[in-house]
Parts: sequence; C-alpha cells; structure tokens
Amino acid sequence: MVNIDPTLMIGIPLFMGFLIPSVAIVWKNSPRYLAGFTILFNLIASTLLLIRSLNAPVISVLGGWQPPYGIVFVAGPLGSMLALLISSMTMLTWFYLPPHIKEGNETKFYMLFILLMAGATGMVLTGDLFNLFVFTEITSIASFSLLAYSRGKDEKEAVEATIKYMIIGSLSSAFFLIGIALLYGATGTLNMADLASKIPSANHNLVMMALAMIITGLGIEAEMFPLNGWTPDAYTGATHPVSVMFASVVVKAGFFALIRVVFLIFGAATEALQILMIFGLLTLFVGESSALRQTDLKRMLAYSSIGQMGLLLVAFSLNNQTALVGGLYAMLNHAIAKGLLFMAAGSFIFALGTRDISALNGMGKRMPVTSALFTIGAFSIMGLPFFGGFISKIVIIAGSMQAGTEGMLVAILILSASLIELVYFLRVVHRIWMREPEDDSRLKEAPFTQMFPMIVLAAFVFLMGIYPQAFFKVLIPAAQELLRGLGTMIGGA
Amino acid sequence: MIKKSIALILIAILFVAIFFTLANDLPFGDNRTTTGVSDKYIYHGVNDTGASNLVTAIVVNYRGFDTLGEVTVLFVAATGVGAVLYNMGRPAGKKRKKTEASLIVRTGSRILFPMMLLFGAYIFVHGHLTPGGGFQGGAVIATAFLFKYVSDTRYHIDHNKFTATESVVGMTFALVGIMGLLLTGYFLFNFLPNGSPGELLSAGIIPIIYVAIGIKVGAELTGILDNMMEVEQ
Repeated sequence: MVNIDPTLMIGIPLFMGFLIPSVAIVWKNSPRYLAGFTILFNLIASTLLLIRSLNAPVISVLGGWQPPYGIVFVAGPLGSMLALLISSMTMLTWFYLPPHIKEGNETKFYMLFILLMAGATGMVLTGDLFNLFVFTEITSIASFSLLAYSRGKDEKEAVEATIKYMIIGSLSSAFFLIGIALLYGATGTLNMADLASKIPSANHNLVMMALAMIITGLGIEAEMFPLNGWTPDAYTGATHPVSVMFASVVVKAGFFALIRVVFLIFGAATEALQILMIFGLLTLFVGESSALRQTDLKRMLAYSSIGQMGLLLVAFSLNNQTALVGGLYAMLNHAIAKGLLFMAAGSFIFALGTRDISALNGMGKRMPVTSALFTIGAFSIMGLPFFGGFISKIVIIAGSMQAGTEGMLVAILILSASLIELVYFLRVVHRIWMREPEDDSRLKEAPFTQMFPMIVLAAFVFLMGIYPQAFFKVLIPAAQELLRGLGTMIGGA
Repeated sequence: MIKKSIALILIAILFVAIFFTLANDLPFGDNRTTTGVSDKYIYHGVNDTGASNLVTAIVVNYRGFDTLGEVTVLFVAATGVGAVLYNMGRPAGKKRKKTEASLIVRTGSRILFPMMLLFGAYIFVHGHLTPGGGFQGGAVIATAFLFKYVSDTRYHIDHNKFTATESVVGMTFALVGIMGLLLTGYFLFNFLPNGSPGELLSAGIIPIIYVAIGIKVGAELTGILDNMMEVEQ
C-alpha cells in the first residue's frame, strides 16, 4: 500500500494555497478545481493514515532533527481520525459552496478555505506544543477572514462578528502563548512527550499557571462558557458554508487541542478535569437554555452547538474509557449532524431570504427533500434512537454511571439538558411538517451537487445509529491512546 | 456600573495572584542551559546547520516547520485583508482629498527608495550570518514601498506582478520542504551542504528559504498597504 507522509497533508495544501492566486490570473475558474484537488489529496492521505495508525502510531520527524530538538508529527488513531473528519467535512463543504460565495472574491475564498483545512489538520497531528500554537494561529486567522467574507444583507453583521471574534481570538492566542512560554521556562522543552515526562518534576505553581492560561486560551476556541461570546454572532453572520466549517472543523480542532493538552501533556491533572467538568456543565446548560429562546434559525443552531460542546467537555472530564469513547462518538456525531443542519438551514435561508424560524411553517411541503434532511440532523442531535446521537448519549451516560454518586448527578444533568434540546428542535420540526404554510408555492430545491453532501452526511448519521460497532473499532483505540498518555509513544523522546 | 466594578475587582485579584506567583517562581537568572534542549542548540548549532547566526539556525533549520507556518499566518492575514476590503470602497463623492507631497519628500524618496530596497535585501540575504532575516528584510522592503505611496499620490503597484512574485517564492519554500521529503524522507530536511560557517554561501537551505521569505513578506506587506490605500480612494 502507498504510504503518504503525514507532513504532506500540510505541505501540499500550503503549496497549492501559494499556487492558486497566480494560476487564477491566467485561468479565472481554476481556484475551485485546484482547491478540490487539494482537499481530495488530503482525504486520501488521511484515510490511508488512519488505516496505518490503527497498527502503530505514525511518526514523522521534520527536518530530520530527532525530538525533542526538532518538530515531530505524531499520528495515532485519534489524530488520524480527526484528520479524516476534517478533510472529509471540508470536501463535502466544497460541494456545497458555489451559490453562497458568488458575490465576493472567490480566489481568495478558496485559498483561505484550503489553508483553514491545513491549519486544522496540523493542529490535530503535531506533537510539538509551539507548533500547535502556529497551526492554531493559521486556523483562527483563516476563520476570521472567512467570517468577514459574507456579502449583501448580512455584511454589516458579519463585519461586527469578525471584529468581536478577532479581539477575543487574539486574547486567546495571547493566553495560549504565555502559557507555552511559562511551560518552556519551567521545563526547557516544547516536545509534547518530553513535556509530559518533565512536568511532574517541574515547579508546581508555574505549571498550574501555565495550565490555567492554556485552558483559557484554547477554551475560547472550544466555545467553553464564559469564553464563548463570539460564537452566536460568528455562526449567524458567516456565510452558510463557513458556518458549517466552524461547527464541524474549527471548533472541533480547538476542542481536540484543549483535550490533548490536558490529557497528554498534563496527564489528566485532576485540577484541570474539575475545572472542565464545572465549566462543561455550565456550557451545556447556558447553551441549551439560550437556544430555547431564539427566533433566528442559525442562532438557535449556534447555541445548540455551544451546548453540545459542553456535553463533550463533561464526557471527557469523567476520564474513564467508556465516557471517552462516548465523548468521541458525540464529537463525530456533532460534527456530522450539525454540519448537515447548517447546510440544510443554509438552503432554507437561501430559498426564503430570511433566518426567522417562523418562516419555516410548512416547509415540509415547500422543500420536502431539504426538510427531511434537516429533520434527520435534528433527530440525531436530540439523541433519538436509530441516529448517531442516541448511541453517543447512551455511552456517555454509561460512562458517568461508573463515576459513583457524582456520576449519577452528571447523568441526570445530561438527560435534563437533552430534554431542553428535544423541546427546541421538536418545535422547529413541528413547524416544518405540521403547520400550514402561509404561501403554498413550491420553492426550488438546491441542485444535486449541493444536495449530495447533505445526503452523504445523513447516511452517516444513520450508519452511526444502527451500526456503531464500525466506529467503535477506531474510537476505542483512540480513547485508550488518550488514557495511556504520550510517554510510551515516542519512548519518552 | 456594578458589572464594571466587579470585573475590575476580578481583574485586580487575578493580576495580583499572577504577579506574585511569577515573581516567586519564575527561575530568572538561573543557569538553565543544562535542563532543556537549549544546550544542544548552543553547543552544536553551528556544526549542525552551518549558520553562524544561532537564532536563524533555530528558526529556519531546527524549527523550520514553525517558520513555514508563520509565513502562512502572514499570508492568510494578507489574503484576509484583501478579501475583507474587496469592493469596500468609500461611496462616490466622499473622497478624501490628498495633498501632493513637497518637492523635498519627492526628491528624497527617489534617492532613498533603491537604497531601502538594497538594505532590505542585504538583511535577508545575510540572515544566516548577521542579526536579521527574512521577516525583517521583508518589512524594510515594504517600508520602501510605503515611502513611494507617501511621496506620490498617483503611485500604484501592479497587483498581478506582486501576486505572481508572492506565489512563486511561497511555492519555493514549500518545494524546498517537499524536496527534502523526497530526497531523504524528512520534510524540510537540509539537503544542501553546510559549507564553512561565516561565508555567504553556507548553511545549506537557509539562504534559499530566507530569500524566499524576504521577498514574500515584502510583497505581502506591500499588498496590504495597497489594499488599504484603495479603500481610501
């Protein structure tokens, strides 16, 4: 089998990102195809990488300098799975793009689009803390720029959201960087495995302060309450495919970076897990109860996204294998189902010209296919049986049961949050199918090229609900990788 | 008002806590070369990389991948500025009046412009020998173009030429990395001879990368300036 070096998953997109603008001068329509080709390359490379990493972690040393002196890429089952998720979501969004980005500078959009993918991929594959910072920067600056891309009616909103996100995002990277500097000061190294082995003997106060700084910095990217002020505006103001990228790629990569730092570098320090548990529960409830009050479709989905990230934080901070598998399952399910929901919502809004939920009355008759797809996504997020969300919630609750009486409480809280979720999603689904439309006319469904990604995502939501064993094959080694830590992986470097 | 004062009090408490922790625990002034990775860089850097400027040795060789990332960060930021400002000109009739620069500024800029370009090029070409490097040299070059804009209200860069230059040098950096992978199996491996430290043609791939970065950063920053000038008009 062909082995593709994981560093090429960064190298090729960067090369193409630099190539696109000059080819666009002579051939105006090329950016779309060059970007598509790049994403396809990453999709193939990450699939091969996942298959390889299930046997043994794939390690790629950059510049030939052995760790801890140089930078290293470490792709275990967990990182490869995330890389595959990132490249496949980017590929599907690529199909969905055309009518939504017509009004701006398309060349620049496609450049930013593939660089966003490269940044997120780097975030999940790198084994070096400072390198993680660099890729976080690429990802977040590409997100600011894509967010500001919105044109027409939403333009003012998008600019406001961008400025908000940019200020909070810069604070986030400042905190993250100070945390890295403190860690380097305390241990004298930046390699993750080396850090993990040196932290126990380093100055405790400094390490804890670094941990607090890094959690603050990455918590902003992972939509952790109360650091998520940018989220609703960003999702609402962004053009629809960019909202999909935020929910399925950017936030997932940020969350994964946070989890990796806490679990792999700090060895799942109890202080960190307690903080994550408390803020996770807060995020869950604040997100879900805010979603309940929204009248704007995309804003509701944004708050629901925050709530789901809270659920993920809670699942991971339980720190046992069942809960971790459930958390990873929920992460996959959320990336897929929320991507589907944002795409379907985008098609609704594109056809209707308004984001108001009350305009959705009777959409089941006016746009039946999109409505059906939206409903599938909503059912999966709610956690109805036969959909991916059900399995993820069941496994998380089973995991929390292992954590004693405290875990029981967590399980009850998760269930009651799901109830809130049920209410606001069912309200929308009810409007779509049960209410009579004010205007009976059929609306034009999106063309097949845009319907295709939604159908693929819906199929995956089903597959996750009825055949979870296939996913557990990857998720269980991935969860074990988190629990085992890095020390054994690179021989302590 | 209450919200504001609570926030202020919280910030004050945080500041005090952070300040005293750092003041007590940061190992300022200790000899820490033996604990981490720094001794390897300090004692073997010149031999390993052939660069007499150790900062460059670390930035472009040991941790060259970070630098490729940083170049991309700047590239993304410049692209983002372009995408955001696209079609965002001021409404007609609200043009800001521009004053022609005085004779002294115009003449001075004509003399200084080539010298600034030369100085910028010097900084990035000698990046592996003397303090400075691609980013610094590029910034100097962009300053030279800013000077042009200040002294001549009608001055404009040719966008296509700048974009093409930027692309070519950016691809050069990425290609150097990919060639390393093809030749030795390591991305960004230094596949050229180190030469003797201190000479202009030494340090393997570092000069190539720094020339590419210098031109790229210069073109990018100039592009940002130009984008902003267009919005002004």
